[in-house]
Amino acid sequence: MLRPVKKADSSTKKARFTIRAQELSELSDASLAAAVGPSSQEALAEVYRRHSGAVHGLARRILRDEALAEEITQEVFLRLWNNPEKYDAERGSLRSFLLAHTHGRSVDLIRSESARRTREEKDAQLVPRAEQNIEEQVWDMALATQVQEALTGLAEGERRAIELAYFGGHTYREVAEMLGQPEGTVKSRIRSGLRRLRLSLTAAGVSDT
Amino acid sequence: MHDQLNIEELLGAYALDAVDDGEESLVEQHLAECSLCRIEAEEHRRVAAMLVGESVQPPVRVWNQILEEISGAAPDTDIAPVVPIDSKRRNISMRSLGWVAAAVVLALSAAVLTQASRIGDLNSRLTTQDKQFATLAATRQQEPLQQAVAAALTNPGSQVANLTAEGASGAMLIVVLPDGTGYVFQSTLEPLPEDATYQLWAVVDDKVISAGVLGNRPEVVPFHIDPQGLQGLVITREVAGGVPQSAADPVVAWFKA
Repeated sequence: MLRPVKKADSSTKKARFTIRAQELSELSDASLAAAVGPSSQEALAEVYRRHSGAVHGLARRILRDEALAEEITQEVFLRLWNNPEKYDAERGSLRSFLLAHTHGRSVDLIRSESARRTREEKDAQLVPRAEQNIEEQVWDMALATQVQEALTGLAEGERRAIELAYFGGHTYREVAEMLGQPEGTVKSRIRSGLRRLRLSLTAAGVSDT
Repeated sequence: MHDQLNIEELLGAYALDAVDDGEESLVEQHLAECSLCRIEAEEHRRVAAMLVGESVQPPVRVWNQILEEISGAAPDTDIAPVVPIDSKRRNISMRSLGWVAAAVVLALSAAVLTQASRIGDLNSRLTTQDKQFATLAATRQQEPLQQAVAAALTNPGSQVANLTAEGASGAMLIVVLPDGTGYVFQSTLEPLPEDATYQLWAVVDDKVISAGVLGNRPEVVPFHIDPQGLQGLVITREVAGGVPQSAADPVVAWFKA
């Protein structure tokens, strides 16, 4: 039987691309990361669509500099493009993989930048940020309640130590100095705070995917 | 020196990148051998990822630079260029388009033909900077609609149209997402009196369809169209409330390359 043959005009091509884009949007992060490679810019675009806001938001928050944050955002996605095999789905979500890289690189930058900034300047910048409640900064409004509850379950010392280390980009030694507490105490508080958070969030059914 | 117990104590700080370089190496050596500690460090990282602050869409130039880097060429998801409509509209029948396209052609073709070099300039000026500016402008304001626009502008599949006309004092920027959701987001058209409105028309599959009444001083206005067959967008000035069919001349227009 003869079937009508549609000419492969631009609208057909567009339709094909749309179908492909729809398929990509349905893939899990793990499958998507596996699809990122030399011939799949669309897969990278989908990863970027899903996670660039969190990556850029974190870089901006740590660096407080839009241009540097853009550099980091670009670098994080290029690294995924160049070395997709570095992401191991068994070891966590793509989101936390990308954010860990974002955090590490942002902290590297802030520490190298700090060599030419005065300590006073850094501390002056830190004060208002240290007063911010991380409860108000949760990444997803849908999870706000659970994350907020988990955070309020932390001791004040744990919460401040985590905040200064994670968002301030400080080492635990620097945090100890800032808070006037022994290094060992701060080190333990960061660990116990993170554990407590994990337990609360798991109990509340929150995952990082 | 750190013993195993001390290294375990460092796992939280390590996961937050809050150890110094020497300690980092020690922890990593230990993690290579100890799966329990490796799992703990990974869990700490996952928790940290959940505490990330608000999402901030990066400006569209970031994606463009990534594309440039990986393809070694200028990205093709950049702004759709403004093109002379007489040469690029050959697939669109004047008759099937009806009056709007005809009016667009009448109003714009001559000017486009005689001002080809100017349009070339416009093309070159209509670079990522327009998108960047618009993204930044939209991001600065916190209203959900503006955030939606900022997100739409950074969606690599979005089309951005700059509606212009020779002789018109203003222009209008429109972004259309792959699903057909669109936003008028930056207008420099002059405000109209209360009894008038701007109206948006989409040229889809050779038909002219009203895509929405934009009001007399449009700021950010959402609309929805069929993105598949989108050939052009036209703005007219109408009486307040809009009209089902228009007899007005286009104020500004954009046609797809």
